[in-house]
Amino acid sequence: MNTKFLTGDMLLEMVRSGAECLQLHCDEVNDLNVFPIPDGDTGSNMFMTIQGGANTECSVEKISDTAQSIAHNMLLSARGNSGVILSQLFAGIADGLKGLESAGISDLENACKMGVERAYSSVLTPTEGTILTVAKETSNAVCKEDFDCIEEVFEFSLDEAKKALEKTPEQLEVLKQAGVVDSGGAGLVYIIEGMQNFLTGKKSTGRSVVAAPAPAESLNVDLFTADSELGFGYCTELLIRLQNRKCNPDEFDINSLIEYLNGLGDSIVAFKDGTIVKLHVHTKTPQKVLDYCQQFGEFLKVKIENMQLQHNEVVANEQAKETERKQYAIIAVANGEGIKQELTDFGADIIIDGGQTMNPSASELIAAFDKANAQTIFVLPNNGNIILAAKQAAELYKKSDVRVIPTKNIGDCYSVLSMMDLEAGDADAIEQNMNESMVGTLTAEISKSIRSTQMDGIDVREGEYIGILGKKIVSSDTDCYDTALAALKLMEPNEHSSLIILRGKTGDEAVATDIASFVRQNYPRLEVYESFGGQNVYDFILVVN
Amino acid sequence: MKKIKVLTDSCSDLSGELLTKYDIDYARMSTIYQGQEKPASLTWEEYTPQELYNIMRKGERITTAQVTTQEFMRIFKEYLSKDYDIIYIGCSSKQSGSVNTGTVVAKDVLKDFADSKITCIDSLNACIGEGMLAIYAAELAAAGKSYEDVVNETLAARNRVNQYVTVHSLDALKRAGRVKASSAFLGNLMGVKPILISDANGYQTPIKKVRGRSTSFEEIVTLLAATIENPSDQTVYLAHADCNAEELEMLKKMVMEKIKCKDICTVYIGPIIGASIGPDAIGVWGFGKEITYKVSEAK
Repeated sequence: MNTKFLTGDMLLEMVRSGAECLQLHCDEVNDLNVFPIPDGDTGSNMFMTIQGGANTECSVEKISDTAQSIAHNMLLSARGNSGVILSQLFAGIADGLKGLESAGISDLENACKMGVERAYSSVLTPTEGTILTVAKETSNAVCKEDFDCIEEVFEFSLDEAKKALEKTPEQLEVLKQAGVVDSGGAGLVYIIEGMQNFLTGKKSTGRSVVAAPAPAESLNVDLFTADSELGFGYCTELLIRLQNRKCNPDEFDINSLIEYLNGLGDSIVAFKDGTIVKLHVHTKTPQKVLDYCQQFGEFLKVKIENMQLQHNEVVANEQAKETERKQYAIIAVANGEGIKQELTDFGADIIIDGGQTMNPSASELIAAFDKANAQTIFVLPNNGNIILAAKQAAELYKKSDVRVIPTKNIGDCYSVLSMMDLEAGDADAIEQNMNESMVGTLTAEISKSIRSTQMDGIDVREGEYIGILGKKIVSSDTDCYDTALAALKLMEPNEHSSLIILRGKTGDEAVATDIASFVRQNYPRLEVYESFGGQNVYDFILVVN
Repeated sequence: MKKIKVLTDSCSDLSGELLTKYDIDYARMSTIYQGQEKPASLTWEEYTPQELYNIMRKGERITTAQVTTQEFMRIFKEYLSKDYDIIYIGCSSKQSGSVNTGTVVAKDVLKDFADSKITCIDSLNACIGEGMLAIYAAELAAAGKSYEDVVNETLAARNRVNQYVTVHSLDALKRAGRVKASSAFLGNLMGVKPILISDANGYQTPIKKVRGRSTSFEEIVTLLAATIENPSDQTVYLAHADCNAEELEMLKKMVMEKIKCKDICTVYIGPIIGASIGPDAIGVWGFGKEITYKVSEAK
C-alpha cells in the first residue's frame, strides 16, 4: 500500500480492473439517458472501448510502451462519442508517459493533464458537464495536491471525479431537466474506481455512485453588498445560562429584560426556565443585547441573522419567478380524457374541464389565467356558449394579455393547435394565424336524441342517432355508422386533406374502424386519424381539415 | 501535387450511380435491427429500401451507429496507400459524431503517412445535401483545383445548400431525437406536415407547418424556387424514403413547372437518414441563398 512508481504491468492491470468495474455498471450507465427511452448505449460503448485497451498483450514492462499499446487498442475499439473521447484521454496519457520506464506521482499528474488536453482537442465544440469536465476537474484537483503514494493519488481522484460528476447537471441543462448525471462522466468514475480497486486489492462491486443529488441551498451573500442598507435588522436569538457569580438566578426579573429589549427592537419573545433564559428579538444593534445579557450570565448559544439579506433573497426569488413567467400560454376548455391528453400533447398548458353541458365559470377561467403565469394567454373556449364568458373573464383580467380565439367546438381547437407555431411572430401574428387556421375546418357531432322532434327539415325520433354539422341537424338514423356517414358526405371530404375521428365514451370502436375504412376506400386523399377522445354526450366527433 | 480523393459517409445518400460518376467513396455507418448490426450500404446490399422502410412502417425501430474508428482507419489507409490526399465530407456534427471520430482517427493514421493530408469537413447537412457537397468537392478536384482550394470552396458552400423536406409523420424523428424543435411543434400533428431545413449550425429543424400532404409538396417546391440561385446551371435533387411512384411524379412535375433547373436527380434516402426520418419523407435540394436561420440551442 505504498507504491511510489507505476510499471507497465501495473497500468495494464489497472485498466483491466477499470474495465471490469465499468462492466458491472454498464446497464446503469446506459440508463443515464436524457431521453426517457431505454436505448442509451454510453456504458456499452465505453466498455467496448476500454475493453479494447484491457485486451492489450503486454510483453514489455516499460510503462511508455504499454501505455501506447493500450491507447492504440482503445482507439481501434472506440465506439460512440464517449468512447472516442475516452480513447483520446488515454492517448494523451500515453503521450505524457512517453519514454518512461515507470511513472512516479509527478509523471502521472503530468500525463493526466496531457490526457485532458488531448480529450478536449478531439472534440470540435467541447461541452461542459460531460466526461470532459469530469476528467478536467479531477486532473486539476490532483495536480494541485501533494501525495505520498500512488494509492493516495487514485483515492483522491475518485473522490474528485465523483464530486465533478455530481455537478454535471448544474452545467448541462438537458441533464438537469432529465434528472440524471452525465453518462460518460459516470463511466469514467467507474473506470477510476476500478483502477483504484486494483491498487488497494479491493474487488469491484455493483454499488452505485451516480444518483443525481439535489443541490444544497446556501446563503447568497451577494444579496447584501457594501452599499446595501440594513432596513430589517437582525433576527437575534440567545440561549443564556444565568451565572451565580453575576446575579441571583432565582430573583432574575425577565420583565425588566423585556422592557430593556423594547427600547432596542421588536418581535420580542423572552422566557426563563430555571437558570436558563431564552430570548428572541429583531434589532439593528444585537451587540447591545449581548452586552446587556452578559451582565447576568453566559451564552449557551447565539444566533444572529441578517434579515435584510433574507428579505433580499425572498425578493430575488420572486423576481426569478417573474422571469420564469412564460411568454405565451394556451388554455383550452375540453372534456374527455383522450381529448385532454391530445390537447396537452399539442402544447396546451392548461385544460379546464368543461363543454356543452358544463360551462366553466369566470372564476375558474381567472384561476387558470393565474396558474398560466404568462405575458400573453390564448384561450380556446371550444364551445359557442363559452366564448362570451371567456371574453368577459379576459376583459376583467389585468395581469396578462388574454386573447380569446373563438373556437366553437373541439374540431376548431384541433385545427388551431395542430397548426400552432408560437415562434411565428408577435402575439398579434400568432392570434391571426390561429384565427386563420380554423377557416375551412368542419366538425360534425354524432349523438343520441333524447326526444322526438322535427328540426331543420329532419324527423328525429327519441333514441335515434343524430348528426349535427355546425348548429344544424343534418342526419338521423337508428344506425350510428349510417348517421355518421351521412354527415361526413356533407363535409366536402374531397376538398380536405385529413379526417380526425374522435370516439366518445359511448362510441363503438367497430363503428370508428368502419368509418375509417370507408374513407380510405372512397376518399384516398383524405388522411384518417382515429383516436379515443373519451368525451361525454357525443359518440363521435368528426373533424375535417 | 497528389491526387485528391473525396470521401463521405452513409448519411450522404449518394446512389451507386452518383458514387461511380463522381468517383466518391464513403465510410460505412451501421444499422441495428433486432440486435443485428449491418453496414449501412448506399447500394443496398444488405436489404432493399422497401424491406427497410416496411420494417419501419410496421412500427418497429431501427437504430443506427456512427462510423467506427476501424472503418475510418480502413478507408483512410486504403486511399492514403494509393497516394491520395483525402477530403472527408461528413454528416453534420449536430446529427452524428462521425466527423469528430474521423478527425481523431486521421491524426493517428497520418503518423504513418507523414506527407499526406486528410481534412474532415463538417458538412452542416445530411442526406443528399451532404452528398451534394461531396459532388461539389469532387467536381472541383476533377477540374484540377488545388487541395486547399477544394477544401475552402467546399467549406464556403456548406450554408448555400437549401434543403426543404416534409415528413409523413414525426414519429421516427422524435424517437431518434434528431430534430431540434419545441415539444409543442412536435406534438401530434394529425395531418399537419412540418417543413424541415438544415439550419446554419447543421441542426435539422422545422420552419413551418402546412396542412395536408399535397400542400406540403407545393410548399417545399415554392420554398426552393424562392431561394435557389442560378437554377439553369444546376441539378435539383429530390430524395425520398420509399414514396410511391405517383407522389414522386407529382413532385417532379411541380419542380419542373416552378424551377427552371438543368435537370432533376431522384435518389433514395439511405438506411441511416431513413431510420431517423421515417418512411415517406421527401424533400428537394439545391444550391441557393445562404442559410442564416439558427434554431435556439436550448431546445
